[in-house]
This record gives sequence, C-alpha cells and structure tokens, in this order.
Amino acid sequence: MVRTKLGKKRGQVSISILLAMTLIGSGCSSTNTPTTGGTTNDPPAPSTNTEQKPDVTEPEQPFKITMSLNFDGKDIPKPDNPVQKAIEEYTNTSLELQYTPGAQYQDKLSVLIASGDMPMVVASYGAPKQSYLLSAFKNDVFWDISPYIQEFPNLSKLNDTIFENVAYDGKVYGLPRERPIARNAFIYRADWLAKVGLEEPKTLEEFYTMLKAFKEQDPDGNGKDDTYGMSMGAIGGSGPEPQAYAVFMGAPNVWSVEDGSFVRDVFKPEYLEGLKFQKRLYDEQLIHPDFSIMDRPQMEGEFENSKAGVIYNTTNVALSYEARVMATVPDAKVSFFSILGTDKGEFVAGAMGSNGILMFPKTSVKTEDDLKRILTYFDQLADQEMADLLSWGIEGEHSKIVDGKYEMVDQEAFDNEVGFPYKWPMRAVDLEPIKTEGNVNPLLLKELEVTENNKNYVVNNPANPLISDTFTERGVELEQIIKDADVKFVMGRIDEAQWKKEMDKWWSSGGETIAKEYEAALAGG
Amino acid sequence: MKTGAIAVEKGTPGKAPFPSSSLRKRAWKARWYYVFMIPGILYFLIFKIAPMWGVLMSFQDYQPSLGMLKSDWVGFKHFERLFQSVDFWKLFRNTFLLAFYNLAIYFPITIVLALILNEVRHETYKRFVQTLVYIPHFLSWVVVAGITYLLMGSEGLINQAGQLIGQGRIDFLYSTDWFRPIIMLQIIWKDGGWGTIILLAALAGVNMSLYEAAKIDGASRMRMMWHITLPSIRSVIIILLILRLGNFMDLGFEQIYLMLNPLNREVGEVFDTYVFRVGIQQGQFSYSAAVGLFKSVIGLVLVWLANKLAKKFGEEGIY
Repeated sequence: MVRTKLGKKRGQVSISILLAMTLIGSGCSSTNTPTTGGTTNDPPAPSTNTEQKPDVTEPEQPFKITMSLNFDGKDIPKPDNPVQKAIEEYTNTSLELQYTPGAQYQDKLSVLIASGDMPMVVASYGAPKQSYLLSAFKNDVFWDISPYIQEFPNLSKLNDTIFENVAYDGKVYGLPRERPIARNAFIYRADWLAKVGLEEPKTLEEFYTMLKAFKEQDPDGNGKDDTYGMSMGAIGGSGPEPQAYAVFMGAPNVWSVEDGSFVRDVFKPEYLEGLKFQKRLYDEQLIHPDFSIMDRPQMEGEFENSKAGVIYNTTNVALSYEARVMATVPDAKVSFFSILGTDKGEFVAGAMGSNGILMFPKTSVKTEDDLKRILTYFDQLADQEMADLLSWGIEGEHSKIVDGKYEMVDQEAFDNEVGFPYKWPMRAVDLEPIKTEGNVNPLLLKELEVTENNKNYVVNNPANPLISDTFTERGVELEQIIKDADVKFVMGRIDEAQWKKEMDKWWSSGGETIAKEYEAALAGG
Repeated sequence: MKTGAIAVEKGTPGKAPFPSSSLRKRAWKARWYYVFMIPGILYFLIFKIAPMWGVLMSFQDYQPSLGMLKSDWVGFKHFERLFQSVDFWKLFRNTFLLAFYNLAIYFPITIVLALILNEVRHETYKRFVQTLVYIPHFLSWVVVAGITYLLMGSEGLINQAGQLIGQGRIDFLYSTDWFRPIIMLQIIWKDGGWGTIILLAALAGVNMSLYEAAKIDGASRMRMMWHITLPSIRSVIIILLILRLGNFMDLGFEQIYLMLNPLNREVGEVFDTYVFRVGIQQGQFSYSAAVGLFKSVIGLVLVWLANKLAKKFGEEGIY
C-alpha cells in the first residue's frame, strides 16, 4: 500500500521538478552556439553624427566613411572632438568610427566578415593570413587596390616589400599600415643600469650579466631582494619568442630556404641554443617563475612597478613605458636596444613591415569612385598638414611651437586623444619623414635610429609573402605543439630528447606539408 | 478549464466535424491544454529547433562571403579532419575523464549536501547555510580562476604557507597531476550548493507521515534517510543524472580555458577549448560546427542508453 502511494507521489514530484528545471534551463541556456552563423555581429556604430544638415549651398557634401578599427588606447574619444573635426574638415569627410579593443579585435573580425554587414573600411589585425581573410580574398569580398595605388602621391611611396608581404595571389586586398620591419626591442631601466655600474649590453652575454645584476644588486635600492631581470610573457603571447634569441645566434627567422626547400628554424641547432638561453634565465630566476601564464597587463605591471628591469616590446612604446614607470619612480629613466651580438655576428628578426591592412568591402564600397574617394582620404592623412596633426596633435593643447620647432607638451593626452584613436589605426604611410621636425624626447630619436640601424641586420622570414593552405587551416594547432614544447623545455619539464621528439611530431603531423607548400608557392610565384 | 469543459459537452454529441477520428476528437476535447502549450512549443521551435539547420554547415566548406546556399558541400571532410587529428584521442580522453569525474564526484556531493541540509532542523540556520553555498554560483569563472591563481600560484598563499612550514613549492597551476583535482574543486566550490536546489525541492515533497511511522517503529535518523528519504527522491536523482548525461561533453568552457597553460594542456585541452582556439578564433566555422555536432551525438547516445537503463530498472526515465 505504502509503496504504491509513494510511487504516485514520486511521479508527481518528478514532474513538477521537470517543469521547474525547464524554467531554470530556459533561463540559463545562454550556452554559446556561435556555429549557427553571424549571430553576435554588432551593427555599424550608431550614428552619432549630428552634423549632417542638408547644406545645399555647399558644392561638395562631406563624404561619409564608416570604419571598423582596432583600438589600443584607454578611452574611445567622442566623435565631435577637435582632432576628428580637424581631420574631417581637411579631408572633407564625415567619419563614423567603430573601435574594438585590440585584444578582442581578431575574434570580432571573423564574425564581422561572416556577417557580411561591414563598414566601408575594415582593419585587419596582425598579418592578414587568417583563413577567414584568405577565403574572403579568394571570393573577392574586398577591393583589390593594387591598380589604383600609383594614382596617389603619398600611398605610392609605400615600399614594395610591404605590399608583397600582405599580397594574396598577386593582388593587394587592403592598404597596409606601415611600420618598421624590425622594431622589437628590449626596453630597460637605464637608471637601474647606471646604479649597478654597467653599460648598455651589446652582446647576449652582457645582456645576461645585466639581468643578473638587476636581480642580485638591489637596483631599486630599497634593501630588499624584490627585483628580477626581465618581465616576460607567455611564449606565443607577449614573448620574447625563442626565435628572437635564436636569430641573434644565427638561426633563420622561422623559415630558411636551402637549395629551394624550406627548413624550419626548430631543426637548427641555434634555435635550441636560444631556448637554452631562456632556460638559463628561468633556472636562475631572472624571469618570473609564472611567466607562462602571465598576460600582457600583468607582465607590463611587473615592469611599471619596478619589479623587473627589462621588458620586451616594440621601440615605439618605450616612451609610454617611461611615463608609466615615472608615475611611481619620478627619476626613472628608460632606454632600449634591439640587437644583441653573438660570435656569429649581428642579426635581428624582421616582421611584416605593416600592422595589418585596411580593407574595403565591395558590399559597402559600391563603386570604383567611392573606393578612390576613400583612398584619397588615406592619402590625405599623409599630407603635411595632417601629418603634423597626427604627429603633434593640436598646437596649444598637445604641443607648442618654440623657435619654429614643435615640442610636445602633454604626451599622455596626445596618446589618448590623437595617437591611439587616429594616428595608429588609420595612417598608412609612416609620418615620421613627413611631419615638421621638432624638439623631441631622446627616446623618439633613438627609436628612429634603432629601427633604421636594424634594417642593416634584418633577417627576413621567407615565408612572409607565401601562402600555405595547411598553415592557414591548421597552423594555429600545429604551432601550439612547438610553443608548448618550448615552454616545457624552458621550465625543465622535458629534456632535449623529448623536445626534439615534439618537433618531429610537428613535422610529421603537418609541418612537412607546410614546408612543401611554401616550396611550391615560392617556385610558382 | 471550465469553459473548456462546457464547450466539450456542447460539442461532443452531434457535432461530428471529424466523425471518423477519435484522436481528433480527443484532441478537440483537450484543446485548451494545447493552447496553453503554445508558448512552450514556440520556444522550442524558435530557439532550439530552428537554429538546427546550422548543423548542415559541418558538411560544408562554409564561407561567410558565400553564405550557406553557395558554400561547397564537402561531405565528411571536417569529421575526417577531427578524427585524424593528432590530438583527437588526447581531446577525447581529457573531455571524457573530466566529464566522468564531474558525474562521479560532483553529482554525488550535491546529493550528500542536499541530504545534510535536509536534516538541519533549525530553519534560520538552514536558510543561512543554503544562501552561503549558493553565493559562489553567482561569481563568474574569471573570479574563481583569479582566486585559484592567488591561492595556488607559485607565489600564492598555499605555497607561501607551505614554505613557512618547510614544504617545497608545489606547482599546482602547471602540474598535469593537479589540473583535474583543481577543476573539480572549483566546480564543487562554485556549484555544489546550486546543484542541491532541485534535490531540496524533491526532499520537501517527501510525505512526512512516512517519517512519523518510521519513528514510531523506532528507526534511527540514518535509517530513515536510507529507507525513506533516498528512495523517495530516487527518480529525481535518476532524471537529473540522465539530463546531465545529455550535456556530458559540455564542460564549462570558460573554466577550463582560464586554467589552461602550455604545461597542463596535455591533460587540460578539451573539445570546447580546442574548438575555440582552432575553429572560432580562426573563423573555421564548419570545423567548429562539426566538432559541436560530434559532441552532441555522443550526448544523445548517452542519454538514450541511460534512459533505457533507467527503464530497465523500473524507473520512469525522461521519455
């Protein structure tokens, strides 16, 4: 009797519970199903532009350009700020800019392209070799700008190598944003270096001595053992990659071509030497024991808060690092160098020479005339007047003129209001040679000097202008094998033999195919 | 309800719009139930069934610029790539093990916790404890991961305490041995309390007179728990178990992604994180869809098997 009663009761309970669960389930079922197509695309930025009055008297209406750009600054400026106004006025355009923070830009870009609903200008992030970009190139989603470049006086000055590195099938599907070909640098605390009585290192061994001194000789003078050599991020994240050291030691830059066939740097003894150098830094605690899980803000924090004396980044950020360190240590000094010599000579790894490309989708840029109008805009940004605006900001606000020479007044305001929102994401041609000269911070002069000098020692990656289908499809997956093995080796989890085995695994599970495809691409093109 | 009943009475005798079909007749009779079901059915149609056409993508070389209609059909290419991938068995093992631990450790813990809470007689204290154990559920995984890093990093609290008592440093975050225990600890801490909600609801529905009868017969508390409480909620436990099996392979992506690093990837990489890294981030939508479909098929098979098993043992199952 009891049993049946109980059974009945049980049934009721479970039904009501099922109902309750459906409710909970429907409330919480935000499980992401991004596989069903472009679901998370943002519509183009809401029109914040109010200055589109029907001004009939004006002969030429401002040309409206919408853009999706990567943003590496702190605050996104309001669209009606004086800098944007000045740009719009000079170029007779009205801009609708949609910014996405750099770290998320790449994720967003694939979805943006998938959605098909793109603004007139879409920036790519990093080298434009991602599979979703290549397939879009293949399907002619974007304009090929190569036939038009010569018409524009400033844009046509861009170096051929830069175009070659971003070209696909001989066509250029976007305007490259020029940057020095080799610009990575070890940025260090010059005041610490003076304190420990050393000179700027010229060789890898001197560099090691410097890191050791930073750890052991109490460079911040607080009497505590709380400093270390270099703030380093994850391999494959913020670097430096083992490649950087390997190239110093004479290894190729990722790939080398030997008798027509492609050889990967990991099979060169120099790569392992570079890795061993990193292992030495790790073993002697000259880098953070948790480096492999540090993200960029954390790693930068170690340098800014005077825990580490060196950080690896690019030459152009040294100035901003100095400002950030000076926030806590007012008499801090920062400097940097790019090349560390070894007994093999002096080398430095080269990159693409551009920071992604600005692409023009055919769906939103309908006619050739519109395309030319937009290219004109980017061409105009390299005119003298715009170059000065983008390099010096607004006179009286960001900079001043002393004896006919510009001088920066407020570097931080300039970075936030001009540099990050307008200069870096939008300018195609390097403005340094164009802008009016000024009295600048010695670090900026050094930047020019170092990147210019690097050109003489640069080792290029021969695969940069080439396409390998396997790399496009499975490159990320395969590179991970190498990166993980590198980290494990540096942290002493695997020995040399095991590391070599991982490299063989990389080679057999796709590396070989990639090499063959590059080979064919080089022979074919 | 009443109007429905009246309408039925009026309609039944000579109405006969569908005289031949008794099913239709019965359906007409219950028409108001159907009306009430409409919102629910619509929900499933719009949000669950309709998006399913997207799985077709996994048999295509989906190119956003061409769209579903014009993309090439490639058959099982993406599935072949998945099954032939060097990492497939590693992924499968990692996913399966974590899912299994989840089921074998986390799930029983929620039951035990619910039973313990149920035995607490002091109402206010019980509510207080319940609230405390629910709270972590509302923290995001980023916070949980942050706490873990602070506690277990190489310079974290636990290691500092360990060094004080002369213990060597333990690399919790990089260790392949510690990865799964940490993941389980996080799940138990965060969702242990949350998992008890449905069980507690079921416990509240147990007939009190059964306890009274048992008490008169001299049963101890443990005996009552074993012979009354557990049998009463057995079917709920089984339903929960079957439903969990449906999502067997869906481990919390965020949680695992946040704890992953090159040194524990060997044991930590699961299908979800793999799809994110290789598929979504690279814009390889078809491949992502294929992996997702593969996971769902496994979930479906598991649910089907579990349901069959449950029925065999005389339980209700979920369908």
